[in-house]
Amino acid sequence: MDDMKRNLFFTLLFLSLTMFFILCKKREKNFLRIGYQPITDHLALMIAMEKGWLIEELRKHGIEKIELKEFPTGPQEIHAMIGGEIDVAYVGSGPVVAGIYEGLQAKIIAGVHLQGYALVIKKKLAREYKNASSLKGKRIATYPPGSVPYIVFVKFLINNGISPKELSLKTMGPSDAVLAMERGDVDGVFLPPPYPVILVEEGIGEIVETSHTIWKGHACCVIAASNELINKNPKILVEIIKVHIKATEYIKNHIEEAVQIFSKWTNIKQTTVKLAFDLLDMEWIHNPELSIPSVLEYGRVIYELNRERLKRKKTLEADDIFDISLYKKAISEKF
Amino acid sequence: MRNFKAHFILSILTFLVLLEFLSRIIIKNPLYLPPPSSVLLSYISLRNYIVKDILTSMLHFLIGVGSACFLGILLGIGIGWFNQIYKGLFPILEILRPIPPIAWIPMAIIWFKLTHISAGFIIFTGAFFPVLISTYTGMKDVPKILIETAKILGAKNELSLIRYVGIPYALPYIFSGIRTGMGVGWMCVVAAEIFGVSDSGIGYRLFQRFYHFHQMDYAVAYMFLLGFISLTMDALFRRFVEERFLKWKKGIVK
Amino acid sequence: MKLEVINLSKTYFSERGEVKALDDINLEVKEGEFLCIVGPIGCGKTTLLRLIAGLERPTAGKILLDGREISGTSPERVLIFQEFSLFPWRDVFKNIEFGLEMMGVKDRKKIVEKYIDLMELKGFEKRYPYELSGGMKQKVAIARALCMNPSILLMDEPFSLLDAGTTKLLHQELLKIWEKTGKTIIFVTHNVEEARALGTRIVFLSPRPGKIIRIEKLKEMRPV
Repeated sequence: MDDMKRNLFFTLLFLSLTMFFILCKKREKNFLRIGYQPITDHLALMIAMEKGWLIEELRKHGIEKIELKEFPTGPQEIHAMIGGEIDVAYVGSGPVVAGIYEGLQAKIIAGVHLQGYALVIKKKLAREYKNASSLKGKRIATYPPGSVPYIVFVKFLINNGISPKELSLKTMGPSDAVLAMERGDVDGVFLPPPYPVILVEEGIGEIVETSHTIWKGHACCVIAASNELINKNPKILVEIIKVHIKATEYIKNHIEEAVQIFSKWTNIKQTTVKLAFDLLDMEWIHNPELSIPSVLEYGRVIYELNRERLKRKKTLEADDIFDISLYKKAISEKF
Repeated sequence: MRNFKAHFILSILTFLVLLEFLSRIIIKNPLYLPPPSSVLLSYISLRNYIVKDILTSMLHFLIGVGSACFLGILLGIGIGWFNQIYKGLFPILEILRPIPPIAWIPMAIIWFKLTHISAGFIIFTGAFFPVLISTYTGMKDVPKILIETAKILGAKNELSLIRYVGIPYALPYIFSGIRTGMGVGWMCVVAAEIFGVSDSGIGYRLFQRFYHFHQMDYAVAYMFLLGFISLTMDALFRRFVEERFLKWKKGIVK
Repeated sequence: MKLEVINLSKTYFSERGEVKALDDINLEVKEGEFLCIVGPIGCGKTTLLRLIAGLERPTAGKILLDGREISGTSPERVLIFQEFSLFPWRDVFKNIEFGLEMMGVKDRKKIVEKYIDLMELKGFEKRYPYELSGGMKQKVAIARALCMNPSILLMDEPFSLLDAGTTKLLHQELLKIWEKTGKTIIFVTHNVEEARALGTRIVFLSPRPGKIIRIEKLKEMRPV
């Protein structure tokens, strides 16, 4: 009997310590943490930071410091957001939906980018490429499950009557994928800009499909913010969206400068970035409504991929994923 | 004995119930602390993947541990028995030994590309040194009196001495090394499978699926699966290998 | 069978200097003798035995067996150590047959059983060394040695780790076996009484470096 009492005591002690530790997690609110990825889709953020516009506006609302965190892929970024690592994210829309399905407390508050992806196949195979069925039995690298490239690519295969199992799909981050193709570990990659272009520039592969040919106008990246921030401090988010609109418009008229800034931030050669502008159909946006139809489609694909698990949950609607009110406010205040 | 088992089970059950309470009623965040009930149910939800994942991970494990045992025992015998070999190889091995298996991943991908072999290699780097070190410790430890007796009784050359005296003496050490190597090697399975070397495997599914889709209860279920398999392998090894071959150690150890 | 030790000397060289263990030993051992070598600790008696067994090489002089100089170890000159030397992973039977196995003898069973009987070890064939008493262990060692039909049986204080009672019993057994087999035995001990109880001749060694001080003839060699 004593043994059991002792066990019980220690179990309770351990659990109460755990509880204490968890409930004690507090965060200071005078600095903001923003996540992003080293892809041209997120140029608006890089420009806003480089020009100092973001910190200038946010200072007026009590934010002393902005901390940026770089992530290799969307799912990893959202995973960190779930853990409370970042408050705002420039991120792919697919991972946001996947996160919300698993309990992420966040919403999409603005659009960032459409299209821009490309399928690059090694030169020898590219010559014989006809359509999706040419990919059967090949090794292709793309972003991890739940990300937009993954979903778009899988949908591309399925729409053309091919099951992903008919090829060897390897998932990894952008630099790993480029490296894999350089080494010949994979026959092709499907990646966000500017990565596919690196392989074209190096003469290793050719572009055989782009977002335009696969799924015209599909949503890519968005700005997501935690519900906590949306409820407690919406003013900051409205300011962020306003700066985002300004930066997004800036890109279109200052391509040279945009190339320079991106190159500085990611160490990717300027010539490569320039080439991306030429070859890929990148489109920077700010209106979240442009993303809604494709994002809902992403939600459906994610649901299908995890049927067994999600069938007990309700499918997500636009209201579960988006909060447009902040964008509307930003637009009205700006113009 | 019965009493102990009852206490053990009761203690774990109490812990699980309290954890369930903590998770569902107090923390209410299944991502932070998945409730034990949903972790247990995960095994059922994952029934279509579990067997294939276990088999793939076992394949990587066998490649890694198998080659670790082969090379480790071979080199261990050489190093432990022949002083020249000891002097020659020992310094290099001592430098390589502390390198954590995960640090080998970039090299493994270059040498073996994204194949089952590269996964097996990571496991090899974990399992090799325990086997090597135990083997050569055992070989070095062979009492001189046994070697001299064997020589007197007609063991003609080094090979006979190694075969009839060295190895039998060192066998308990070798088995101990293999057991440790198996434990460390299994812990490397996740690291080995992170980089998409295959499309199944416990580590693969944990990192390429559960992590990216934030399916934490599935993740926890697989974490415990890893632990459980390790315990089982260890127990089986003890029972079917050590007990059988090491009857004579009963009087000497434990 | 004749063993001749001629002008035998052994010096050990180390960083700390030279140690002369044996100094100019001359000795002749005849067939069927029970020769005891007695001396204080460190007098080189173990060294002498090891030289005859072939585990070490002389610094000067030579050892001849039947006129031929010995080199290295051989089952003709089996040494039984003071410490227990059974192979712990082999049972009694397998320990005893070890030498025969090394020499490639095919029909070992009969030979092994013969010596198991001789050493009164019947019933213990499947036991492992860890299950045996000290006295039994040495008996197995002796059986193992006798299996090889050695020309000479060398024994280095084989009973010094055993208690008095067991030692007495083993003395009797050893003498019985000596009578039965007619083996030539060289027996080293630091205990003069033991030597007197067992041997036909005693060689007394001086403290280091060991020299032969005197040789005592005790009794006639018993008829085979």
